[in-house]
Amino acid sequence: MNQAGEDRKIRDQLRGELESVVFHEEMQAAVLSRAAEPKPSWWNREVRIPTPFIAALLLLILAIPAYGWQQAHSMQTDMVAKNTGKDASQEERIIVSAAGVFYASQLEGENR
Amino acid sequence: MRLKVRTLAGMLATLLLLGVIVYRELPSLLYHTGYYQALLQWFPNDENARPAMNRLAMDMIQNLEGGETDYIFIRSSGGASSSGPSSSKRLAFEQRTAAIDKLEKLLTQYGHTQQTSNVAYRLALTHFWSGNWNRAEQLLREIDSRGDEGWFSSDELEKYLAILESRHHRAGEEASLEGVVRIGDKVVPNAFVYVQRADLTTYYSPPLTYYPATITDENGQYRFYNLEPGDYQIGVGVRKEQISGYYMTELEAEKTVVGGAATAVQNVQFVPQVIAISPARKEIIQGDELRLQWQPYEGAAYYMLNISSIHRDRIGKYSGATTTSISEDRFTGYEAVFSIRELNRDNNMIGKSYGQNREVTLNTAGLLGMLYPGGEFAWSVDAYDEHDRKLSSSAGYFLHEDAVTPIFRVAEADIQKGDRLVMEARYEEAIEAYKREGDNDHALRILARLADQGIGAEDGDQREALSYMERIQDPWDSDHTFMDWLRERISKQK
Repeated sequence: MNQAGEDRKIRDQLRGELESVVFHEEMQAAVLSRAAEPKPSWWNREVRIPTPFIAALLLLILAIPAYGWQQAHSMQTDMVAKNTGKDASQEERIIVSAAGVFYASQLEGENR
Repeated sequence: MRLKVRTLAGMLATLLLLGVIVYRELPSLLYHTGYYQALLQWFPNDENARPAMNRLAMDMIQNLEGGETDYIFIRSSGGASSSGPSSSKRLAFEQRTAAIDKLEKLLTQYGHTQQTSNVAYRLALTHFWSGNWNRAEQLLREIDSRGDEGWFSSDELEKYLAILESRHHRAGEEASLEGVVRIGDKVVPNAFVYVQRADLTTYYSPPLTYYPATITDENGQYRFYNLEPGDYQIGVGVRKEQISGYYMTELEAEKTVVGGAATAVQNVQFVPQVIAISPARKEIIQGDELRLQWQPYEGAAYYMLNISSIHRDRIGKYSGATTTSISEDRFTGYEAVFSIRELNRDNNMIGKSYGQNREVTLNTAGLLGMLYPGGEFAWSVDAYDEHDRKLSSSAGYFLHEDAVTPIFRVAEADIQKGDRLVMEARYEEAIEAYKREGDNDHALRILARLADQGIGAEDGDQREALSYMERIQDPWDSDHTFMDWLRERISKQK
């Protein structure tokens, strides 16, 4: 086989291999048809949100109720401590005897 | 991250919706989880605010003692009682004032309604015990005029109102009984005075709503109007700190007679108590000598001395005391010295008490002697004038932290095994231990006293007691007296 025949053979082989990716007419028609369609609406557009922003937002959403609950709890605790006497001292028993009137701790405690 | 705008919008809308739902439900959530304060602050106009206010106020008043525990009520007959239940808490003045302010604000903000009547009532009582008579009366009148019903007794409300109304002087009307309350040389405004029929044997504590009561005015004067004629005992309620270091003098007459043509007058006077110096502060007396010392009292011609044997229950808590005079002597100086051994020959302080399970406890001083070794005692000194009128006593009110209590112990010297068992109220074992001592005079005396008093629920056996006494080798005078008494009892039994 001479050189020309060999070139043809290679060309045919190459054409055969590229046949599937050839930008044929049907494809061209499809591209043109799509290009003619209107642009996608704003509603369907995609936006890119940075991951740190999403993380911060999620953190805020969780932190607000947690902080609020903590505030509610501390308000209640403060009110109880200030106004209900739950931390007040126990009232002492008074002992009345012929030797005098004493607090129980004076009789039951040491050296008073 | 890439998202379509509509997806993002959907997420935001959901989040907003959730936020709105949570915000709307938050008051209810706060209410049902008990965060009333936050609810009232953040959602003051929510429908849950009023019930939350009521709950908050009820929580406050449940733990808020009204101030009644600041008072001690003393009867002319000598008894005294504190008005507070033992479980109540003692609030600092500032704390109580803050609580009153808070409750007042809540009531002002949310109004007086049927629902808040319990709160208003307790607030009124807190004002009452804090001496805010006008506000207490105003609140009680409001509750009374609305006819509110709550957890309080309307009868009790009426009685508190009557006490508050009684403080007003009725011009042109003659009082049945009046007088002035003084502590030292100062008149006592805002003291409670109550009267109890002298023939009534029961006593209620706190007494205020059980007996006719009134409040002294700015001159310390009290007045009772329209008292039924009869004999009365007078009682006063004063703040504990006011009478610490004082003693209530005996009234001229034991009973106050109301019903004559004229107004009966009965003043109440507290005088400085006699200062007992030594022994005190649970000092332990070693040896045989008991030296009692006290400060001179103005106007006193002589002094007389008393001793109280302190009883404790099995866990060491005070359970009572037996008191007797140490001697019949009148002391004109400021010191008296006694031999403990001699005093222990006295067994007058007998006493028998029964526990919940009918277990018997005998007064140890009545068995082992007035000042038995290992015992704990309080002593007091009474000052008399030349007309034998009791001026004062050291047995007053030791109601301040630095009060020096006239309490002492006698060292456990020469204590026998039987004595220790007696102190532990193990009488059967004590009898066995004493019997093992043979004809030991001390053991025979205690065996006789145990036999005389009886260690069970039944009465003692005087014959057995006499048989022990007759075996004593070296009898004291008090032993002879005791034997004579036993013989007399036996002859009466015949």
